Amino acid sequence: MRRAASSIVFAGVLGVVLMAGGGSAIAAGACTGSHQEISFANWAAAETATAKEVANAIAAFEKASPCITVNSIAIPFAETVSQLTVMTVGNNTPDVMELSSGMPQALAAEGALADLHEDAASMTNDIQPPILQDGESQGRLVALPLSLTPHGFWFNKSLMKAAGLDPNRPSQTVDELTHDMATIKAKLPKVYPFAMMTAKGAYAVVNMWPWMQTFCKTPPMSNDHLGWTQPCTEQAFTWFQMMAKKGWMPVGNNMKANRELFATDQVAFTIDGPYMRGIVATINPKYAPNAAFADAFGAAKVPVGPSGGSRTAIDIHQIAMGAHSAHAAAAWTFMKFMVSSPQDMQDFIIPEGGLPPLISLQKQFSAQLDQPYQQVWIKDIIPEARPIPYNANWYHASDFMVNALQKVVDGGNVKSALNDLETELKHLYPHDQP
Amino acid sequence: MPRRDRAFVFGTLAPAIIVLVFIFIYPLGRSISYSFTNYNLINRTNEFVGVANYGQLFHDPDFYTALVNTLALGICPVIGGFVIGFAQALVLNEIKWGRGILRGLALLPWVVPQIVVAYLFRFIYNPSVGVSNVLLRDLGVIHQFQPWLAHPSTAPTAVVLAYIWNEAPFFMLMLLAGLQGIPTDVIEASVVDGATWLQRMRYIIIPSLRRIIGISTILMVIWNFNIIWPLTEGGPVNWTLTFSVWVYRQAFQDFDLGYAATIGVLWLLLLMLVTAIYIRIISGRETAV
Repeated sequence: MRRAASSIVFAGVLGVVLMAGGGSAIAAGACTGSHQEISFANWAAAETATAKEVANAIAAFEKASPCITVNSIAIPFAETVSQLTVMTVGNNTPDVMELSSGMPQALAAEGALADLHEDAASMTNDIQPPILQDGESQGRLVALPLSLTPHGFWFNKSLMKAAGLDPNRPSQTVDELTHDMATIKAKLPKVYPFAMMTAKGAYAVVNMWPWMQTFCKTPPMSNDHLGWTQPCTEQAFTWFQMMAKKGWMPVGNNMKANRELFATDQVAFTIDGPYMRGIVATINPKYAPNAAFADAFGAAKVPVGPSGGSRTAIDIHQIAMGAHSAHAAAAWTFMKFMVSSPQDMQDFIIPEGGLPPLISLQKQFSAQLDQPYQQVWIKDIIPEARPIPYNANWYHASDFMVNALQKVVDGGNVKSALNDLETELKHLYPHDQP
Repeated sequence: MPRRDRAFVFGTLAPAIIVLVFIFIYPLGRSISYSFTNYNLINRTNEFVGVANYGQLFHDPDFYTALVNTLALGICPVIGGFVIGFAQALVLNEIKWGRGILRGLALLPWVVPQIVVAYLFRFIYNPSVGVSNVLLRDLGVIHQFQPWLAHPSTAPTAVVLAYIWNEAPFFMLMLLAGLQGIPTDVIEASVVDGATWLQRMRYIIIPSLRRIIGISTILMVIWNFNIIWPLTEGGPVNWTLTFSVWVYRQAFQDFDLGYAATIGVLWLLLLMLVTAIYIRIISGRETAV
């Protein structure tokens, strides 16, 4: 009797195992060629706000390409370059990587990234040239745009109104901005009229760069010159110092702290990416509905400065391929999906707060990108965005740049801070060619 | 020792020795060897450069900044932590009822991981909502909120205060154990002989605690460099740049492993030198006593 029962249990277990095996055989049946697994290092999977979206995008890709499995490697944003560098040194570079502006140049110098010129030839005409340029290093195309997130000028309409300013007419020029900041400080002493990152960290340079482009026709580090002692740079740093001295901006804040102030109506103007909308809604749920957000906040192109035009820095999310990927074809298939598939835009790029990387997709999704700030980004900000002149030593150099910024906002002599910076960078770039 | 006993001794010691070799001796050896190379992960160089890194280090203005800051941020928190910890230990030593509970409560800051301490103090010093700003404003000390970690004049002090809060309980624990080890009849005899509190402190208590003071202070000097990175990242400018922060920056931001190893090796030598001198002074005094 006991033997019979054991046989039944065994048969049952065997049946379940066979059915499970059969199930996987059915799923794998959709793949007609050989099966490949690629690795995808990304920070989207490491962040609660975007983990689900990127997982959805990967699932959609695997459904569309059943022969390829994507192994998502979650790396926190702040550790992306260091972890990818260590992986590269260990000959373990991921097949595909999510990067941010500046990272491709550092990783390309290490020999970590593949040249995408040939693979991407069919889509390069569909990308704005400066955006494409942001993924180039030493004449090689090493990264493609994944999500467009250049910095724009955000303003708090409620605070402008409370200060007696027209909430629907943000500052058009730097002079107007200076005037508006003075008005806000006079009327609302507890509010910071402006915020920019002045804490230690390479991102302070990214946040400062739109102003370098606004004040200088040829920003520092461009055209093979350091250019930190030119009059326009001095003018920009003097302006930063004036804002700090007058208490118009918080000193020593990182981006997170500034975003918290902006979301809680304590900062009137700031420079940040389009994802600010999602950040504000997360910090201050009363602004989660589109209407409430549009009533309280607006976005515009960066005010025009002495350089003569509205300029902003390209700070975007990119995607790149490992130089020695054993599955280059599969990796490219995945990259192409992430950059050009409408499904990915719907599942991942638009929900995470970015804008489609291809011009055709921006048009295709124009009905969905109907929020006023999104329209400003597509029509006014993206066309004026220019790359930051990144290079292999940028992260090292940015430490000196932040030091100069901190000296100035703390009341130090502007000229001597910039002279020191130029001298320090000359050691890093002995031929004066960043 | 019989051969069997010797085999047993080596057998039991072997795991510890193997672990020590892999996690201490080998990395130390590699660091020393890297310090003679231009090993850089970005430029992909790894050539022998002799003592060039050491030469460059002594000409680097950041070296002197880091040296001064390392000494200041190493010594000041230890002095502050020691004074407060010693005071706590003296009070707790006198208390008869509830000493265990109070000692447990006083120990809380020490059991908090240093990364948590750093973020806690970042919040306390927050220029917009920080408790320190609210408290000082309400007391009338300041009129507007201050970015304590952003000003060169206040950032080092802010870092030191965070360390003191974290370290004082360690001193309290060590010194309280030492105080409880002093024979009560010695103290009572000194009281009978008419010794004042200060005299008891100078001639009985401090000499009895000398060894504990020596070990705990040197341990604190060696350990206390973990809060700075999450608190200030060495800024503003380089006002809180210490050797540990500098090594991290060179190794994991600039990927210049050769230069980072050089800084690390020099820092190790300096620590060994300071420790040797300190222990010599302490043991010399002990002999004199």
